Amino acid sequence: MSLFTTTRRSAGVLRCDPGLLYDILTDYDNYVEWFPRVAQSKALAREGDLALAEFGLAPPQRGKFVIECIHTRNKMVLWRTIEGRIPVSQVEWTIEPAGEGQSQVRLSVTSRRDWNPFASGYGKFLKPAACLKALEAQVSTFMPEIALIDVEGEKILDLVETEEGVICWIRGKKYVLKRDSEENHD
Amino acid sequence: MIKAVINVTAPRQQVFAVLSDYPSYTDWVPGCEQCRVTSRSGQSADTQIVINGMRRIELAVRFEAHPTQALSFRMVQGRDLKAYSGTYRLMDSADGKGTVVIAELEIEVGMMVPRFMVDRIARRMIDETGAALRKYVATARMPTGVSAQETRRAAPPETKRRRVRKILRVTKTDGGYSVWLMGETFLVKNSGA
Repeated sequence: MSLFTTTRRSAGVLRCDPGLLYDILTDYDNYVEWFPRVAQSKALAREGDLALAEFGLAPPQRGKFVIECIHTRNKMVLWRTIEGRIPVSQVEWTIEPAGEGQSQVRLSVTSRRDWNPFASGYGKFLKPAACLKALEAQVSTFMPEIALIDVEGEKILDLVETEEGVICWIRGKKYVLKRDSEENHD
Repeated sequence: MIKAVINVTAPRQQVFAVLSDYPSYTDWVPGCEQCRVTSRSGQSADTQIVINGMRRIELAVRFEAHPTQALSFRMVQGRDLKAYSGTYRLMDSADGKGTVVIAELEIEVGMMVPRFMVDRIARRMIDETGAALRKYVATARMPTGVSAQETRRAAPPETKRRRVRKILRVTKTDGGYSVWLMGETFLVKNSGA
């Protein structure tokens, strides 16, 4: 343990293959959908196992930060903050297979110690346990059979995002929704 | 080490050509009064630079180029600074509209100036250089060696296949409705139930 940094960790087993976790963790454009306290997310650049991404924080923190990311396919995703005033300096996700259809995920968050008691506000930001829980929820959108297994009754409405657009099932009738921008720019 | 990310709306070849055109630094690098190439060897170039910012600084800087990928530099001689080094790394922007430059700068001036003050100066230098690079690339004509075809060619955005995923399910149950929305389940009870 360093005087100037502190590391918080969390781990869990999720019911999905490492490939899905890797895809979610490297899909920087869509962190906004699931990552706690992130209000904007955008991949700036990507080349091989390297990427740059920019995140915008939700209130009360606000502000943006840029991370530099190094990936090892289906095994590790590591970020380092290179721009922005956030106390977190490094985030490391490690993924390992944990039996059939399951993966062990470990998250380690290294932050700079803040010695100013009046400059807090980031205390709950990037809490490893909350991030893992959010990741689990995001996983379940790709594997809804896990989350929906106990619900019995008449299916009224289903929305599924696919390559061809959003498929909407209303009481068994199928509709395909296309992105508005795609249609307007034809 | 101070880092910054600079978004430039020009292809990587063009940005690299500007960064590696050392004699033209006087046209755009803030405070650069002179940048004279004293020798070249392969992708390496030795230069004599004069920067007139908060004070006048003279230094000999060696540049090592990795064409279109990166450009590193370090002071090899100079009395005004203890160390001066850095890197520009170039990547195609994910939206296919230009180049992302990751700039790194390390300055050491000796024991007399506190680290935080040096870092603040380095931060200002790197930010000002980034803004100047963006402006110069947008207005400058191409340095020799960069063809018009190369400058027009921007990397297409990486198309990524998205997995199929469920967004919403509403199920009518005995007691009301179960709403599953992107991993979270909400129960809506019948008012009469």
